[in-house]
Amino acid sequence: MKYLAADVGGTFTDLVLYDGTTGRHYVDKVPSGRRGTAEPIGDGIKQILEQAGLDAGDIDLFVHGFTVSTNALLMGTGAKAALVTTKGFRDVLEVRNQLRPKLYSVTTNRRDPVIPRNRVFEIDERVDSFGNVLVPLEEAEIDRLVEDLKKADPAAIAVCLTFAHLNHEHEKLVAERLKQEMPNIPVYVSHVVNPQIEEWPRANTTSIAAYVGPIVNGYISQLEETLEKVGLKASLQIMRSDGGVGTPHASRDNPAHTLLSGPAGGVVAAAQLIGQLNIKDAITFDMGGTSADFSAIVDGEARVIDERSVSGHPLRLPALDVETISAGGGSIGWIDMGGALRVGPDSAGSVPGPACYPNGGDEPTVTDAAVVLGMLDPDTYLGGRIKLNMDAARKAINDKIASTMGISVEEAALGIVRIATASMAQGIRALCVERGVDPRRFWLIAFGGAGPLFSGFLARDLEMQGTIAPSHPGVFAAEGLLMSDIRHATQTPIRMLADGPRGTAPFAEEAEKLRETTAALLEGDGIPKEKRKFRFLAGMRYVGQFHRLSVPLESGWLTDWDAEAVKARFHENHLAIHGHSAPETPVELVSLHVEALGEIDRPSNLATSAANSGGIPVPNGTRQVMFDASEGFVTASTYERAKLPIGAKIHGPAIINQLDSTIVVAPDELVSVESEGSLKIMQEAAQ
Amino acid sequence: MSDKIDPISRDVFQYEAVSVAEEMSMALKRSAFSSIIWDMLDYACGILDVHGNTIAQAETIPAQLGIMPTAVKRIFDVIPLSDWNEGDVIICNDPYFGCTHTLDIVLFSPVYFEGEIIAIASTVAHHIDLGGKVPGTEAADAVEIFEEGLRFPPLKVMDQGKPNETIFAMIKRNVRDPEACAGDLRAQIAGCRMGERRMKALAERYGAGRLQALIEASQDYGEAYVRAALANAERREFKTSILIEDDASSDEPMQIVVHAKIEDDYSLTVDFTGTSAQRQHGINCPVASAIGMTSYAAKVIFSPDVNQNEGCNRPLNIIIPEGCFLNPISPAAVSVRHLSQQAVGDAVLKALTPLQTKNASAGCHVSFPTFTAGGVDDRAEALTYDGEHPYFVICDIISGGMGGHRGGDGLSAIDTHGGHCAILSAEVMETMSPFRVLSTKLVPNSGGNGKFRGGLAITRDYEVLSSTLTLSGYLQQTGPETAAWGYAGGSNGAPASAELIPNGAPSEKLKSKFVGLKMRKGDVIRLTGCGGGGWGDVAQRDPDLVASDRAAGFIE
Repeated sequence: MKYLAADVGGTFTDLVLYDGTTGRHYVDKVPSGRRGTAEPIGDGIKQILEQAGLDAGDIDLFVHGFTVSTNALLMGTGAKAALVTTKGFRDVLEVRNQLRPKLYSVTTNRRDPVIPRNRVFEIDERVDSFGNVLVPLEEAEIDRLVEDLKKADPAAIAVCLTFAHLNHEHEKLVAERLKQEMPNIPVYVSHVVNPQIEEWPRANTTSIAAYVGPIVNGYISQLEETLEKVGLKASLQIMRSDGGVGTPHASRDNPAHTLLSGPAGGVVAAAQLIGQLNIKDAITFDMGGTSADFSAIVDGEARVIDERSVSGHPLRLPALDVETISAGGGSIGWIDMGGALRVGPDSAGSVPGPACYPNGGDEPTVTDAAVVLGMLDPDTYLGGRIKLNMDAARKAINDKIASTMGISVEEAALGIVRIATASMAQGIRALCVERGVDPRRFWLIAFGGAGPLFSGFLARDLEMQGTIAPSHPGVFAAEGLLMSDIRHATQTPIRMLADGPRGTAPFAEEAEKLRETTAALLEGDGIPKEKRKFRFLAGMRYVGQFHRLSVPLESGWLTDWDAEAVKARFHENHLAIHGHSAPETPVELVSLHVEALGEIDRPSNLATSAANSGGIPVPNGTRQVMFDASEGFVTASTYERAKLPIGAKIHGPAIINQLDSTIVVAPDELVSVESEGSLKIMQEAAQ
Repeated sequence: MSDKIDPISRDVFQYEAVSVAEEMSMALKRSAFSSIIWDMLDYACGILDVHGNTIAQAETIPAQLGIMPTAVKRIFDVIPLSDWNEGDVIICNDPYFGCTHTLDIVLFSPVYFEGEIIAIASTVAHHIDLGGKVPGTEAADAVEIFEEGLRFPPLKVMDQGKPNETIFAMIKRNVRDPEACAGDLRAQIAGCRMGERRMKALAERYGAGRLQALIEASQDYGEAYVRAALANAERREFKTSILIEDDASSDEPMQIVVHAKIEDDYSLTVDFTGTSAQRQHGINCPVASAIGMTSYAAKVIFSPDVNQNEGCNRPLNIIIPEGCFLNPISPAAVSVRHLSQQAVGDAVLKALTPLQTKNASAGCHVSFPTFTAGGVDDRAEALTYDGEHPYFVICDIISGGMGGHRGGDGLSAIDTHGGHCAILSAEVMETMSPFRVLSTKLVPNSGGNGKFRGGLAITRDYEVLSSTLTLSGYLQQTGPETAAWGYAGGSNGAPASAELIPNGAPSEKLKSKFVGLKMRKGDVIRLTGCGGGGWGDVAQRDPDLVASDRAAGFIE
């Protein structure tokens, strides 16, 4: 079997091809080109096929991660959508949760709702909190709505009615009529997109689905055409926010699932990698040009959460728990009114880019600091594709920082790195405390273009076990795309005390319905019965609490309820997550969730065959690098990553170069080349 | 003093110090019981130096900003630092010992390193009930603090690591939800312990001497920042006043007078002389809250992007005469001080706005329309697992408009200044209590006119579904004299209101404080916030903005 993945990023699209028959592994990068078009993918595919000497028809699976939906949401360029609400709720997107964007500011603006007020339409109907119809939806009311909607001429329609997660009769009536009357307009209903209590997050999630839907549809159609032109016959899968993949059909049905897929690939790949290395706990560190993403993998599992916020808009869909902070290679260093050195949140981005870039800006960035300190080689950056300008980097740092603070350019450059590291360390510490884990137990998995440049500073600051640099840090996220199965998730409200009688099946009917719903989706995806897996979880809480925890249920419990075991698991989870539990307090179940997995034929891992083991690593040169102002520049050996033999050990200081990344090894660090090709970097004293 | 600290080491330390406070905050939030902490973030965490001055504070609710130094310095008088042993945690919630209202419990614990105290960890949390006259403890018509629940003078709630069981036993018999109270208190202690551990780790890294120097350097930086910001002010001095409703002990409104002046040494004096005398009910504002909200307003105008530490407050000289309602004399009641506290923020911002218009806005909504209702939920389908109709207590707070500012219109539907309270989801409210939310709407035309108009208020209608319940609430900014102020020619926002619409009867306007209303099935209560004030002359408003406002229905 032969597998191909393409992950679209802001500047480059990363491609990975894995040939299961030979165990060979190819990577490539092509410019992403104009936003929102699928054409560059075609060029990239041709390029990597050529490299591998394969035909398009040879490929069995193609997994794609794209950003058109995310970009549309972030840039405010989504479709002209309309929203239908219950009478009295027209302003649900305007009122939000009434919290302000910045606590200590009376002037900070916020993003407008994705659907403006004049395209929100009320209809007279009402369901109550028990799911009873209070005000029936009259035919005439729908007639009036259809007329209003036709006048508004939207490109997509979201429908979110009160308590639709309990009773979706009215939403269905509306959707059916709209499909008859406006057959070309996609309609998204809240009981499918997010069947969960709380009108604002539900309405907003449904509205966002409508906002990005037409764009995702257009992109997928274009992609399918492009792939046909290239001659690719492989099954196409699309990356989702929760680390699973979905068919084009499933992504069209709920396009919001693609919104947070960007950082998901790296987390999936990291979870797979630490499994191979027999490591349980790791923090992923993906640093690019404008931001850094972190995620904690605890006991081998990446956590999926059910709500994330995108530019202040809640998105209630399962997503991998990734924290993003605005610290990247392009983050700008500056001096504030009190004379403090700050880094970010402003970024030079890719235009104009760091001062050292060709046609770069004049603001000093983190990348400029790395150039000044000798960590990046101006001549071989990105395999020599971009020549960096050392003088411009020095000038920017001198003019904007060093001369004002009265310190040397190198000291200022180290300052930029130290401040950027301190802010990232703060982000990781917060993430660990929130999850109740100690970072000192964790490994840092560093990837993205800039991850392995700074991971050593970060791991040292946090006293972590060490750093792991995967074989291809720059395309690691793309590799993750090949490690995911098809996923569907949905839920339904229930209400019962955990103390149900043993041996009964208290919510058999609800569970069966969920199973049927998701089985039908897997059927549509072409997944045969024996490749389907269903995992049930319950939303549980102490009676009197509002917030709930998702607790995995054993499949046997669905037919043979074991209250004591269920409660014990809930108390245990509560203790682990909140630091306390109350075993005497009654426990209730408020929702039932299903995660349906469809196994696809994908590589079990992307291990490169050990071509060269047992040799001694030979440096290909030296560089002057500064790690500490008091010690000045030290001589570091430089190595070419591809030539490092498995099992080899390298003592710092060293710089390890590869096409897609640069790995910095401090003077007291030791690198070992692991059997599957990754590098483990630890402090010598810890060995 | 701090001359041997290079600026970059200082700036790295500032991240580390804030990180300690943020980690305390995460530890507290994670183990808290109540949604007032999880959802409303009504708590604060900070670390102080051995003099009781702030080193760093986590960014949570502004109302709690900077109350820790006020409290700890009063506590030192009763329990001097030399009596704080390792493992101790000091508790206090007494408004007359530097705390705010009784519901905000303040804890302090010493950080020991090599046998010496090197810092103090502190957490403050709003508890849902501490006993007293009414559920939730806050009674607008209370006349003395003795009606406002349990009051802890400075005491050791943890004595060298051992819980003081007497205190926990007293809590258990005096509050309405002892489990939540004790649980949240334990979460606060967990927050303090996190702060102790992390500060100790920093002392191990730096050594006690260098840590002290870093602390001083970062406080000096805070001071330098604020003085530099004050030196950039557009104007040096302004005196103004606002009015707020009483309506509990008197129909006469109260006045807050603020005289703000930037002195020659670039310090800022905020003088409240002339403010009305204290009143005989719970709207008085404890002095710690008045100081906290003054710090908030100064931060908004002069240093919104800098980490708050003691240095930021050094250039601040706050004068609040004793006996005025912002520095009341015991035993004055203070429990509904959110209203007066919001008004302090508003009044100080009104005085500072002409000094630096860059970060300022016209007057914001501080109307705080809220109610708490309780009773038996006797809807047929509302049954507990035991088959009984449950007793319920429910509370909602709605928002208003922010003021227009020199860069644009004010935001609509925002809880401002000291508060950070989410509106209750209609679906959650209807699930938890016998209310139906009939509508939640923006109020067209409620933002004050101007070159940049004020944000719109919202209005919400709640229908009672049980046969009877009792409801109390309050709000302010209910008239043209008290509504959010316009600036530089902008108009005031439209006032807030509360109305009762009895089933089938005409609507009646409620006063700004309403206590113990008996409501029946089918009655409707309508709360409306205040719109934000406008900024600048409406004649200069961009016609495109007027057109888009009209299209969206923001103006009619």
